[in-house]
Amino acid sequence: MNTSEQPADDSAAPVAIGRTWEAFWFTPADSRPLALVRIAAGILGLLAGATYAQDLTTWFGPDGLLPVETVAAWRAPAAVSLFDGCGSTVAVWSAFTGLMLLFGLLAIGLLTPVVSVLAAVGWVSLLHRGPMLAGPADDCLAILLWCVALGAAGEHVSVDAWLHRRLGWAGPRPRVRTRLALGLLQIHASVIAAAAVLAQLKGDVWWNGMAMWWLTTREPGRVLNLVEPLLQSEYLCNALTLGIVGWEIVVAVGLWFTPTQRLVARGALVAWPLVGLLVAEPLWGVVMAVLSLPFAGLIGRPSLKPAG
Amino acid sequence: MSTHEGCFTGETAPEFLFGDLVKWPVGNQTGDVQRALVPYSFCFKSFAMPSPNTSSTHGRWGEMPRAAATVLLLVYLTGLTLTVIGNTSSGSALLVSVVKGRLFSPWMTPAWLDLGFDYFFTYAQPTDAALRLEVRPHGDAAWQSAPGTGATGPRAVRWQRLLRAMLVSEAEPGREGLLPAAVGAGLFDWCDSEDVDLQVLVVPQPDRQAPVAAAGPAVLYAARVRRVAGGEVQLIRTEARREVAPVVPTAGGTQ
Repeated sequence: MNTSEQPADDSAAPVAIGRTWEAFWFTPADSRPLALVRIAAGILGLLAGATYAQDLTTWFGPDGLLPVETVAAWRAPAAVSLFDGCGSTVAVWSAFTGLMLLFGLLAIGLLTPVVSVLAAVGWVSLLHRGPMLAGPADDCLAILLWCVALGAAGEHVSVDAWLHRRLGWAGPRPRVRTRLALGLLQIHASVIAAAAVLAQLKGDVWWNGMAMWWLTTREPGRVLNLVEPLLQSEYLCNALTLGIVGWEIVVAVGLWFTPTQRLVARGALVAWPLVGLLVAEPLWGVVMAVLSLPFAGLIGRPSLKPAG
Repeated sequence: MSTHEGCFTGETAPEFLFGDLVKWPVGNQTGDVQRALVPYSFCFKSFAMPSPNTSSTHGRWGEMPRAAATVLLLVYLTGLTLTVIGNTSSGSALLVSVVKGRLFSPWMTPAWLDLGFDYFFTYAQPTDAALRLEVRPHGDAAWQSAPGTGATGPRAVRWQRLLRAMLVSEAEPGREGLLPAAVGAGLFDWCDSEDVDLQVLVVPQPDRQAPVAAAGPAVLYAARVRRVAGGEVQLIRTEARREVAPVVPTAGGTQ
């Protein structure tokens, strides 16, 4: 029996997986890309919140269409909402205005560590108050907000950073929790695209290329009216439909490979908003673009390699 | 781990430096500490030792935080996978649903992370088409368009989601009738009556092969909602009349 100790084989699969895992999740990362996500999340929160404003009392008011008891029975048992305690119109509006204020503070980056957590909790509370009203943009915005709350999103391009400089406090530095936030953004950007493809390919209209026709002839919420061009050309209808599916596949896969990551992420900044316009979910398109934003290399780098 | 480097020069009694612990270069010579004022040139290079505990050092995490984070990440990623493959509205295996429901929903749902991300946008089914809510005091002939009918943009999309949820939840155990009853009761003031009829209509979309032959709106759901004694809200669903076969008399009478 050979009792001599063998040096660890660095190329062994478990070692390689462990190193990749460590590098992906625990390499301190620059928080500048996350600062962009924070600003975008704050602005998107204001925009998404604005779509609630006009009907807030009609839905959530004391005599509204969605009383707390009904919603509590309808939604998942574990769901909770801070808005459940708002029994009057004034209370509902106060809570809503507070949430919008939080989004504003998040966008400018004031008291970011606290504000980001409160904004995330406030947003999911609003969604749980009326889950039947929530759509893709709302879901994905919740993920953006949790990732912003996890990372050090206020260290750059923020009032916090300006105050730190004025007061001579410690400056920004790469952090592991920022890397965790960026990693989760990358995973969700890919998973959401993959899940959308899987869901779409369960329907005939996404296989036969006619989904774009059915989307564009549905009027509520429609942004682009493509009825005439699609009537003129079935090829165009097919190309747009299959193009959406193809793009989702490209994002789901392309974000994971170094040669394609930056290209896909930069393409996402244009392609996702266009997809959002085509499927009558413009906010969703923008949120999906923001999920890919840190990997476009516009500012800082969410590098997997150690800084040294 | 970081390093610090630097040099001092001057004259001093060497014991003021590091006693007899240090040998250092003086000019071009290296020797023991001498008890006299000597010119010195002292260079040092110190190494910050890694922290023996598991706290973070210079932005890096120690082993224990990394291990804890790894466990949390693995649990979260498992939950995320199950929410995608076990999404309620897209259908899933019973086993996946139970595992997801028991282990992951209690903490992923409150954070609004228990999602399937099944954004199909359309399957060209009636519930994917434009929906409309109409209401009237019970007994009136004329239907009125309910609030939100004239909404546009993202606001209109939220109203569409509400109407779609009213339709879809009728087929979901435990949710039947909840939304129509609540919406109907919420429209009591608007109708100035505590006994109202409501209906959800679908506006059929034109087929691309015959774009001008679209049919008129069709009723997908209709119900009567009223407040009864004790303040309870009662929902009476209006079933569509169905074609039935005529009763055929037989030789021995009717059946």
